[in-house]
Amino acid sequence: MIRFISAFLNPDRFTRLFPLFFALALLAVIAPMAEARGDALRLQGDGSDKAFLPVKPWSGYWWSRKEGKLVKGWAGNESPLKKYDRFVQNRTGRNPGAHAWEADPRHGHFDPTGPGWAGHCNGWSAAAVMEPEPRTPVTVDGVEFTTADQKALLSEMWMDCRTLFYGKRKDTSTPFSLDIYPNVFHRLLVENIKQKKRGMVADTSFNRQVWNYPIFGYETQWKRRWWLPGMVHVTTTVYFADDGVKPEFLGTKTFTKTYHYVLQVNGRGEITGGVWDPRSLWDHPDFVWIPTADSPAQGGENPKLTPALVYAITRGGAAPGVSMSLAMAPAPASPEDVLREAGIDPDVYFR
Amino acid sequence: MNRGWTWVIVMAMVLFMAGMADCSEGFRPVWQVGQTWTVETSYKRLADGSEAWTTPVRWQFAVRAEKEIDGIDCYVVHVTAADLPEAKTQAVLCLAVSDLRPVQVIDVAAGPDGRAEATTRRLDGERLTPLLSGESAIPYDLPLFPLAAETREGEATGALVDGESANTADGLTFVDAVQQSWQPTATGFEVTLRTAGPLGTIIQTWETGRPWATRLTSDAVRCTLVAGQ
Repeated sequence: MIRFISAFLNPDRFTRLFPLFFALALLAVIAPMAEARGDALRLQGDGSDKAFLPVKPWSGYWWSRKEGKLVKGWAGNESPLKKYDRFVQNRTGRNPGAHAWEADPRHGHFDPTGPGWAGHCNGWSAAAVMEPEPRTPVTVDGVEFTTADQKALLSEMWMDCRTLFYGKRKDTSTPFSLDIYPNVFHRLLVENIKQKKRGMVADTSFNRQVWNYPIFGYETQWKRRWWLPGMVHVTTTVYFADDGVKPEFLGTKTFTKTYHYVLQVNGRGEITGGVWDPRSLWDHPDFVWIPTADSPAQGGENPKLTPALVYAITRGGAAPGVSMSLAMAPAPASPEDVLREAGIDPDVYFR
Repeated sequence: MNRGWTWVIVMAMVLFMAGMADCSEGFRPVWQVGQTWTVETSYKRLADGSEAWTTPVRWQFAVRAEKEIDGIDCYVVHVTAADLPEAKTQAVLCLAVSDLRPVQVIDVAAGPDGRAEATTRRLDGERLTPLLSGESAIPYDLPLFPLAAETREGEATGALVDGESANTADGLTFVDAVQQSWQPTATGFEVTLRTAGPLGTIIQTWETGRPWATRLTSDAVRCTLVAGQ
């Protein structure tokens, strides 16, 4: 070994290899500087960041299609949709038939022979993000609705809403498909959870099954290595609200998942791509979506459920805040009035 | 050189320049202030991942003015819900008169308290950026113009442009590649925009003489131009 080191440090050899050593040393100094030029890159060197929503989405049961609790009810609780029909009958004089629609197997909401994982997890996820948690039983027009009933109705109502959808739903287990890319996933976390304080939902199962859960926070750490210019190794722990609870559950049961990925960064410090690390290649979100409040429900799921009447139960009247039909609520008189309400002077653009 | 060869060369140059002019102009819709058109839009429903679409919503596009916005002469297009003008969801599109590239975009939608909120995007002129509707419910996506008929009708390959769209969040800039390709058809062009946004891959059909894409399909919305010449 000593002989080897002595041979290596031979002055002649050292002189010949010096330019190579110098170039490598120079590269080590320049590469990180070159990558960071022109942009206040927040992913320089090693670092960490975290963000959480001010209000966590609430946990609720996922209303399995196979079990059919929405149709059959469960121990000590009548079907929430039967109660809804009775309430509407009392208020309007007609039975809307929400329970009959749900029970009809042609509509796919109640499927005793279907897969065990299929349910209303997307409806619960959207409702948990968009609606305050019902925390007290209410009696409306002579019908009592427990908190579980109210969560059931909200989950059913939010089955159909406009969403911002990222990634592709997958029916196979091969990792090389069009799942959400990690750079898009990272952007959505930062943009929504940290910047806009807006909840988002992820399908955590990257195979054929769909398990939607609301995301309410994340903690991320990143590392850069000088010998891998243009790459940032990121480890992100994501906080989810869980639906593995009984219908009567109140509050938020949580779980976390940790994802590993590499972000590609260009010379201007911009994130231009990303790949899942082998540790997360078989365990990463399939797709991510964000429920929006700017499009009314179109009645594509249970058309017998009327949002205004659901709100009459869960909020004691018309929803004052987020509502599926708010975008169409006729408050201002003209499109230009809407612009003024939003702080835009129409004269600046149109005249 | 004899006179015959001179004429051949002159004619060849004229034809070449005419071809160049045609190529450089290419196709783009022609608008006038006061012009309106209506686009009918259906949205994909999330449940079951099925091919189920909502009942259509109609969006009215109106070219309200030609004004200088951020130092660039722009058409200002106001998009509103056709059947419910007081709806909170709107957009104001400021597009360069020269080539319809986006200069400034204002998206308006109901906020958490139900009041209208505006989000203004000023597009980086240094980036080759098609207009993407992103999070807006209004499908106002536009390709980069002009679309030049560089290939003969019926050929399998079309022209290709690599653009990009940038989003800044909390001091980080995320740049997504947008690949635009197009192909001549009997009546115009079919344009494909491959994006990383919520609409995914967008395919538009453009016809000569029509102000907007006569048809749009994507992973999340599908649209038809129902009124407007």
